[in-house]
Amino acid sequence: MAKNILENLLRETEQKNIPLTCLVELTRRCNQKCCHCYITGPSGREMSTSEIKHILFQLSSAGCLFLTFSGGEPLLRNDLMELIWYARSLDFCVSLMSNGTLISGTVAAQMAESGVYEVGISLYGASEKIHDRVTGVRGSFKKTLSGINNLTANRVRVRLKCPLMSINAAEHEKLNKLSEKLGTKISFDPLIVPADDGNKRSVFLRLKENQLRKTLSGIAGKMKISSTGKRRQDDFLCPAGRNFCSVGPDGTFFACLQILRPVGNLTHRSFQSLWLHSPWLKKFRKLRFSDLLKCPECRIKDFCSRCPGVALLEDGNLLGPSSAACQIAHVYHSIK
Amino acid sequence: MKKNSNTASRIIEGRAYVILPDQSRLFQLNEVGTFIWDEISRERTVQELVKAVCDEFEVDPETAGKDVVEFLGVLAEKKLVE
Repeated sequence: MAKNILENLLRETEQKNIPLTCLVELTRRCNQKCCHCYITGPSGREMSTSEIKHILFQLSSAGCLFLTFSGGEPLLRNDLMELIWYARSLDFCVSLMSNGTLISGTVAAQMAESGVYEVGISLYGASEKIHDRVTGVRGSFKKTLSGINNLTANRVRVRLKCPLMSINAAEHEKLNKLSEKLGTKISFDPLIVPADDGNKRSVFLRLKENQLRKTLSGIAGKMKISSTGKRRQDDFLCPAGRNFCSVGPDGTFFACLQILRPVGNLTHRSFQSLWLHSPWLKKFRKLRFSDLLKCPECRIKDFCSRCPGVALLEDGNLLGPSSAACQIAHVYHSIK
Repeated sequence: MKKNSNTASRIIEGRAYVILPDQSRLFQLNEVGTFIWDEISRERTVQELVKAVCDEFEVDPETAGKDVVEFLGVLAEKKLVE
């Protein structure tokens, strides 16, 4: 996309609190059991098709352009294509996050016809051995590859999403080659987040600092997290609640799914009433980089991609340093 | 005249932003372009668009006709309309 137009749009919507981007988690159900997944507990209530459509309509009226459907595995909802078609009728730019295992040729053709912008597919290794070990489901690698091939055959843009863990770090070069062979884009992410119940078992899957340094040196250009540029004291904490928001499967509204502080529920309240009038959101939006504890004086702050939600979940303070971000920033600084 | 059905778009702060997924390109339209883009959503003929521009911006039909045709040509060249 035209970089300067997008940058200006992001800046303007961030300053004016226009919800340009929304991630809708359609379900917490999944047909895989990935070892690093942050979703825990029962799947819970899911909104009906009409409830979701009502929210999408409100989002479009509020200025939302970029819409992502995620899960769990969103294809486990039988109404996914209906929701995609409805979102497209509202002129959303629709993306999807999936494990790809349920994307048949027919589904891929429907996605192409509806004008889906991009499908992000989680891929954890370039071989059955590693990928299936992460997903905990034998045969998932083959099914995911089949889904990817169905999408690319229908000219749907695919981005492979590869979280980097000790179990698959050695795979990154093979994953790059596989991506080229499949005709997809690829991005790596070293940030493995704690579970949404606060359990830190997945944190132990993260790369150790020396592994991280070695891996990042080779793939810096394909990283989701990279140098943030010059940090200013009056920078906003992050786009959450400014031009980004999230909706959970039961309609719970969040500034971001990483910040597990519910703003309200969109099945009971209108989007605008929460977005414009939530006291918590108003307070959160006022926070600036200078309000953080320790971070403003940090000598490597320009290399930090601190997430307030992860800081809260893992280190107990929305405004405190995030140990995960500190580690990644140290590595980036050392290989700059 | 109608939008390419693959486009995604939104009018934000009075400006239309249009994405064509096949090309992964984002366009920003000016005030008149945004007005015309919004009218095209209702599948207007060129004559209807010219009249709408005349009414909205108080310009003479000749000037409006020239500008509308030129703008539609740009949209067609970029495959934003069919």
